Amino acid sequence: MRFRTYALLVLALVGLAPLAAFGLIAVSRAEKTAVAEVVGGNQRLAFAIARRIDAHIESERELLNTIGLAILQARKPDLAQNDFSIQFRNFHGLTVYDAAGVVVAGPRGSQVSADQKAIADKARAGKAATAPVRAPSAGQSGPFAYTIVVGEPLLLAGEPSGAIVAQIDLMDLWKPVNQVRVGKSGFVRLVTREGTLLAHGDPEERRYTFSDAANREIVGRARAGETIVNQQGVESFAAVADVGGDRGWTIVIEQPVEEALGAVSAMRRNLLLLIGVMLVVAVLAAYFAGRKAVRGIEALVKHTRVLASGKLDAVVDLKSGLAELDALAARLNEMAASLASLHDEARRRERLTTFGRVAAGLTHDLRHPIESVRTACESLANHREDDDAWELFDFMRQKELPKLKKYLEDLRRLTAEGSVSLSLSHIEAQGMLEDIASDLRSSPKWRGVSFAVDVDTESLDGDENLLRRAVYNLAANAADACVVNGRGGEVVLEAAMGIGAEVTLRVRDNGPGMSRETLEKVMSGEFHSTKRSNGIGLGLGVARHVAQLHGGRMEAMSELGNGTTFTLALPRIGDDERPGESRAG
Amino acid sequence: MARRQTVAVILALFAACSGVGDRPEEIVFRVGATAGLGPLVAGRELEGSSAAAADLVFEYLDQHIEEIRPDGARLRLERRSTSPYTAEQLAASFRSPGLVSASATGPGEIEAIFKDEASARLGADPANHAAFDLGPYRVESQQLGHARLRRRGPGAIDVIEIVQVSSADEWRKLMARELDVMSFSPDLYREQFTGMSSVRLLDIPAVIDATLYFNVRDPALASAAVRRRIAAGLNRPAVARVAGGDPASATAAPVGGPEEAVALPERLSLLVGQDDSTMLLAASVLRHQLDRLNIAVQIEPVPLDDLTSQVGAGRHQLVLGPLPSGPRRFGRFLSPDAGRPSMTGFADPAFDAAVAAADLDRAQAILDREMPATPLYQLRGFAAIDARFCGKVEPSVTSWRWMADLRPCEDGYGEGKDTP
Repeated sequence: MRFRTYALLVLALVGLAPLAAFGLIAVSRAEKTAVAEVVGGNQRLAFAIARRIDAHIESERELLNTIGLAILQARKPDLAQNDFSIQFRNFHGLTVYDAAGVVVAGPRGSQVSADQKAIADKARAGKAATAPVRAPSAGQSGPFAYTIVVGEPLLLAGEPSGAIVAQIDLMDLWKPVNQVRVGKSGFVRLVTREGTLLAHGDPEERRYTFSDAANREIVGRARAGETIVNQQGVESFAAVADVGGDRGWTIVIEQPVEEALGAVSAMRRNLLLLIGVMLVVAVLAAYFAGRKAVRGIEALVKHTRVLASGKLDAVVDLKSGLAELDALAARLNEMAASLASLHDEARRRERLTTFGRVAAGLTHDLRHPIESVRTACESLANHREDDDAWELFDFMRQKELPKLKKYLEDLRRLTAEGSVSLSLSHIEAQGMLEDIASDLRSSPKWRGVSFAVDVDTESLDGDENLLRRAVYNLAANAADACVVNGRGGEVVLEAAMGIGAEVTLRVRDNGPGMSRETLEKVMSGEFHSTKRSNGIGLGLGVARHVAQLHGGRMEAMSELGNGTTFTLALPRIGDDERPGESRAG
Repeated sequence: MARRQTVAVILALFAACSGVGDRPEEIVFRVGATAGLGPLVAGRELEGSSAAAADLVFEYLDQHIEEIRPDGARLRLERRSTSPYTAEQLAASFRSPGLVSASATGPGEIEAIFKDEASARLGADPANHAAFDLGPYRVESQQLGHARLRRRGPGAIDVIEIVQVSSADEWRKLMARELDVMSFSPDLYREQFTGMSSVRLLDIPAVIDATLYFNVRDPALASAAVRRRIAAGLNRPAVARVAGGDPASATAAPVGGPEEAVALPERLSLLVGQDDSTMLLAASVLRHQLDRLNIAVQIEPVPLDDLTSQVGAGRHQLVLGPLPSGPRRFGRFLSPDAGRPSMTGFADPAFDAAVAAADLDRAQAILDREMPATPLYQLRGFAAIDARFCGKVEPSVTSWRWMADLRPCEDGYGEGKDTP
């Protein structure tokens, strides 16, 4: 996980989680409180409106009573009835009876409905009566909405004087119902027991005037304390109250859930908004505040890559403003300086080691010419008259002493420069290997060992002197191996084109060979004294070092009982490194 | 063979299941006829809602005919050059089994043969709207109280269904979406639709006056002076306020000087349609006003059919009914029609001559003098239409041709910007 991400997550967790948790708890509690308040408030309102509807009907009754008495006492009762009908248009079929049950004013005979007759009989008997709610009959144009037939007994100065019956258009109830608004979009519904919708504050809901079953269901759900869904699909909280008397009418207060919980929804929206803003702030804060730290860390990471590449002298100049990071950068610089010092010391020691090894190699190589010269000198001293002794001495003087001089020159250069530089030239491979074989054959210690040369390439490029010494050492080791068991053997010196851009110089013997463990030690440079050699193993080291100086490598294959093969794989010298040029080793 | 039948059955089942061959759902527009719905037949005199509906089916004679030359029971009709129909098409649409046969006698001439001369005279009325069966809809089926009209050519509404309903039920059926239009509602009830966004109210130009007709054949009203005295004694703004909701809708009182003293009848009966609420209110106000003239008025609310038969038989004294405003008021409501007495019983050759000569001032002067009827107030109202239907339409109280221009709103409810 990246530092930035980690920092952002920590910031979000610490900063936003408590806010979100507190907000959700607060919103949940606010919602419960709001629901309780809405339902309670609407319940009170429902009772109030139910009482108002009841009072309205009662006032209509009183008005009817007053009209009845006025008609009864009018000089022209029919005309009075006519005029009252004009004045009070929600009263239809106003009919006034006298104490004897005779129609004084209003419709007569077949114009009076059965409902009206029954109510009139009750009213004339001194009892106020109301017929159930009915829709206007076909062909009756007066009432617009549903109607009830109401009968009122008339008492004139305390004496029963007749009755008045009228059909009341309940459209008159629309006004008190329409006037009520619950919140912004809550309405009042007035429904009969049978589900007849008498009034609704929402004109659109009034369109469902024939949906009795749906209205009954709404009232049922409201009584059960459940939310209702009106005909238009709006879910609302509902409160119920029954209108007084035996009318069986019910008031339902409806307030859309969305509106009732508007404040809570707003709170939830604000909370989400706040969380969103906080998240943005957190991201920005993490970005700006963490920028110094992240940049500092990235600079340090980059610097460690530079150090890892070996540039220990590189210095990081960090001014992040963060004390810990700046201190870390300083410690890193100190560490790099310390590492550089250690590195220099290691190099110095390595140079000394190399010097020692090369010097040891040279010393090793010096043995042969010195030994040869010594042998020649001894032979001459013992056989002064012997021409062969003189011939041998002359040979040594011409061949071994220059070698000796060359070795000493290398040793001087090594002492002065700390390394031996290559002196590149075209080498005639056949000649070089034949010379080495000839030298080896001349040594009496490897009598019984045959030396053969097999050359598959005309020439190669390299430092002839060093390559001679390397091949000589390998071949001498091979000859030692062949004679170690007191029997002869064969050593083959080969030169061939290698794989790709390589030239190989190979020394192969059919001596006793080496085990895998021995071969690994030989190749790792740990091998210093073996049965196959009376030396200290420096010849192999010289050969490996020569191969490496040429940019190549030394390889070996051996099998117990089947001899050993050492190969110097050397890169071909390119055109840019012409023979005759020198290259530091 | 059996295999073929099996394949056919499988294909039929597949077609039925996959809906292959399904036709788009028909768009039906449902209209309530509150003023009676009789058979929609060309060449017949139509009344009430049938007359309004007939305009969806038939076209006027003078729309396609330049000149009419009566010849006994025959009419020779000269085709208008602007008519989109040929003489053969017009003749074919003019035929009505049992009533008239017609044929093209030339590229621009049609000969129509009626069953009798009276029918030919009726057929020659230029205002006869049931002349050509060329309207936007044709009668697909009709029975008592129900007619189904199908669109002749391309149009948005495929079928118009007309159902006879009472005025009391019409508004509730509209609200309950059992009807799509209430073709006319008095302004008095405009408030009941306030705030109902799913119902759109379209104003209807006032072309009808609520009118008090006198039966001049009745002895109590035989005197023109009595009729004038009664007409002069009416407070029209009061009637308009109560029955129309606006005193400004009152018509002008009759012109003339102070009325001479005449003996007015003590009692009069006033016929009014029982399902016409505003006319009933107007009748109550008239009763109150005539009482001031010491005339006791007995209001008789009767069904429309009874009213028509009583008026036709002349068994009435006063009747409240509609009268077209403008020049058309001088038509059959006031003058004899095809040998039948008018609803007032008024007949005056001088009046007929003035109408025939298009001397409407003289005709009006005769009416003012004879007073067979007196307009009271303009019948102002609106059409209430389900907001699912749109279109630039101008509703009319006498013709439902405007319904042919309706179409379903593209986005359902709420459109109305393109509606007056």
